[in-house]
Amino acid sequence: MNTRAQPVAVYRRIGARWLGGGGSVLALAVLLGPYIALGVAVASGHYGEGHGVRQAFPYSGRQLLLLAYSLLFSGAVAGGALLLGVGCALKLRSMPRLGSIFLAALPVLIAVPVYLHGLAWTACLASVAGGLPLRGWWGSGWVEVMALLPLATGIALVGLRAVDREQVEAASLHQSDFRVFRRIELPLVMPMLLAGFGLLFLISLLDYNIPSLFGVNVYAMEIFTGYSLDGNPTAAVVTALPLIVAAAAVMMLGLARARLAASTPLFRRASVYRRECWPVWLRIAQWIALALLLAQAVVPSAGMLVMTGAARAWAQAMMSARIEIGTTAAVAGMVLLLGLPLALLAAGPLSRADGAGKVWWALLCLPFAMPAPLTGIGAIHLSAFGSRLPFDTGPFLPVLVNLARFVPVAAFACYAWQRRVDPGLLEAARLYQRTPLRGLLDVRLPLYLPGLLLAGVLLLTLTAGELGATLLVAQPGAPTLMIRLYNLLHYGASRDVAALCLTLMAGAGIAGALALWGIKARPRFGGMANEG
Amino acid sequence: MHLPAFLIFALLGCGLLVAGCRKSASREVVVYTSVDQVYAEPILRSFEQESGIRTRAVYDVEATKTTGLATRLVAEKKAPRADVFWNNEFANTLLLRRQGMLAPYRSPAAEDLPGQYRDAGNYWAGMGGRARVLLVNTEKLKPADYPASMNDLLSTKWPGASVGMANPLFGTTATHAAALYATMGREKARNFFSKVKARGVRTVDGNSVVRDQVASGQLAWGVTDTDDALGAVERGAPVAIVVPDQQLAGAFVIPGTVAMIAGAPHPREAKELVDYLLAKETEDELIAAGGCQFSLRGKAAPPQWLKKPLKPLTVELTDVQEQMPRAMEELREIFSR
Repeated sequence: MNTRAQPVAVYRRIGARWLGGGGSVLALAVLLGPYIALGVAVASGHYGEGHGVRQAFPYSGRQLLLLAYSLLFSGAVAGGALLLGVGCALKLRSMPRLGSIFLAALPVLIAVPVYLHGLAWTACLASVAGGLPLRGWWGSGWVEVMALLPLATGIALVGLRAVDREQVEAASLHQSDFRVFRRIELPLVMPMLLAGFGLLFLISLLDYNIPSLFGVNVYAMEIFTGYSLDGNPTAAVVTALPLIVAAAAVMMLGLARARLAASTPLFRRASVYRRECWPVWLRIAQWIALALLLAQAVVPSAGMLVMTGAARAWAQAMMSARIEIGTTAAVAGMVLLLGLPLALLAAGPLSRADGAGKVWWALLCLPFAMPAPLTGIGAIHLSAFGSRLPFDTGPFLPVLVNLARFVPVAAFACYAWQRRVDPGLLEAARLYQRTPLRGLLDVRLPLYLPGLLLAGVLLLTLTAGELGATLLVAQPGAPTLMIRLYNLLHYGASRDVAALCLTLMAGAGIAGALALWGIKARPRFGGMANEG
Repeated sequence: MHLPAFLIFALLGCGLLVAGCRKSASREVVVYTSVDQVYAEPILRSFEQESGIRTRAVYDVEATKTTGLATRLVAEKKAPRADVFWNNEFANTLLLRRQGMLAPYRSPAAEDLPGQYRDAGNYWAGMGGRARVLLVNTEKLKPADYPASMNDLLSTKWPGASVGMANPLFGTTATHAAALYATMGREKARNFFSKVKARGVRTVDGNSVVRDQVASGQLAWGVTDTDDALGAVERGAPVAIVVPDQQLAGAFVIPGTVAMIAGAPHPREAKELVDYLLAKETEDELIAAGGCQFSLRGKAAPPQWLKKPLKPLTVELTDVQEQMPRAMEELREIFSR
């Protein structure tokens, strides 16, 4: 044994550990920086001494009742979307090619802002013979369930695909498919579904646009009524606190369960699915769910195509929004470039089973639960610290707020993929790598690539659709596409709005297609079996 | 293998970003505006051409509910980035004035404005006005059945569900509500809104949604702003505009405002832009484009679509602003349930 090489390897390992730890701390600083800066600004009296707290606390009976209704509503929306999503996923699983196409098209389906789904469904149902009015809780619930259905289906499909088919096939020799699904598959996929429920619940809980469109009051709106009056975020934070706690708790419970989710390593994954024999009612339910998913794919996109009209109108709208498209592309590109390494670093400690791992989960859940405008305000305060720098920190802010908001999503996507990688390969790389860097570049990154590509598509799509925080930090003279889109919406230029939405969808489609190509092409340089 | 490519991309990206971060040495002015981009942009381009000063604008969005720009200005208090605040209403401007966010500047272009549209300390001045009007679907209602007053929100002549207004906790509807608190008194105003809620009048997401729902026939009539209402008329929707309360107290007119930010990074350029925006010619240009409908200068002729001069609701803007916190607190109790 080489006696000199051993200490060097130890030092390298310690160095790599420190590097990894330092990187994770850096990721955390980026994620939580805006909120820490906001806390410092509030504590230092930027918004007056304690006025906001007195204004918002204690919570009134009306507010608590509104919170209870909002929690119930979001629970029902998330549950409904997930139930339909499972139905769609079961159907799509029996059609693997269609399932893969759906997963590739998922970014396109989630690229359209939820608010526009609401407008599209309202217009669609109003134009049906006799007119079906969408109003109140039911209208709001319908639009939210439909808008979340593609995401719910994606989560359920990924969860079902991760279940070890060998266990299912073995059980199905003795029991009916439905019983096997209920007794074996569902418990295995349940942690993933709970994590999905948490995510959908949170999206619904923090959204006030759709309820507002249908004249429904939700707690998320409560945060902004006081805020819009005096611009004091202290009261907004205090008002938002129950919502943040509820959302973070659901996210924690849901995502923590995801650690227990079935995750068949790729080398054991079956590539051929046997067509299950379901009871009639379940077959009908699956077809209904799939029809609704198709309707959700068709209504907004067809509505927008009809509204846009000729390709010339689309070109004109694109031309007039070229600055906004350029800005959005630049911001999203930077978020992608900086966000992926940060996501990879943030994903590392998620696999730790000790107390530090749990704290890490909680810290990553926090940005999820924060109302978007507070992220923007926090970023402004953070930039005030950099006002003495010789360069303008302003252009960094749209990138920073999107990193803070969406790197946790990317980190969870990376983590989910990392769990599926054959640990034997990683162990072999660790033993035989010349340096940790070479091990990372030659083995780990190619293995993690599909997860990174998925995280990248998520970062691009979510950044392109962000408004609440970006509006507060957008560079003068460089608005983003969403700012223009909502501005045009207020003006009533529905044709331009539709054209820009199609542009967003096209962008998301290209990102999804490139990611798919990247995954398919990976064996050429990764030297691995193609697991599709 | 992929490290060099990644590093090249990372360096390129950072290089581009840093290039974009250079502090500009040329003459420029940063304006935050809540005037719709389609109206504000041509005016700012004209200013650029005339003055040679590069104008960089940040636009607001109605959908965010946070009155984003005012919030942003408050947050940026210690290191202001904006030079000029061009607001399509006055409540937030008066709020910023109270919070010490504005700088005084007596613009020569504002000399011909009536006293109520100029701050006594020269912290802001008015520019163009919009009125709160009733938009009626002409296929749903005959002219004889058109509403004529804000009080018709309480009339049982129209089912509550066929009448709409924007959420009174936000935007110009909130300002209008505060104006009613200032003119009617707290008790009467609270009763008025309680009855509106009890009658089932539909509160929707914004004035543009009121416009769209009246135009599509989902509502028979609703309360909105003149710019939204005229937009529907211009697009050929089956709608008519009714200016309310012309035999009573008058219609509420919301003046737009222009102000300079305290500690503005480009004060000289800011003054030039303020002068340009407050000029009568610019106000006329904004009216012609549809960004506002009424000149704040007393002698101006009424717009063509209005057959006779509008009778405005007489109310002090400062009174409206003072009523805002109480009105919002009570309206939150009434409407946010």
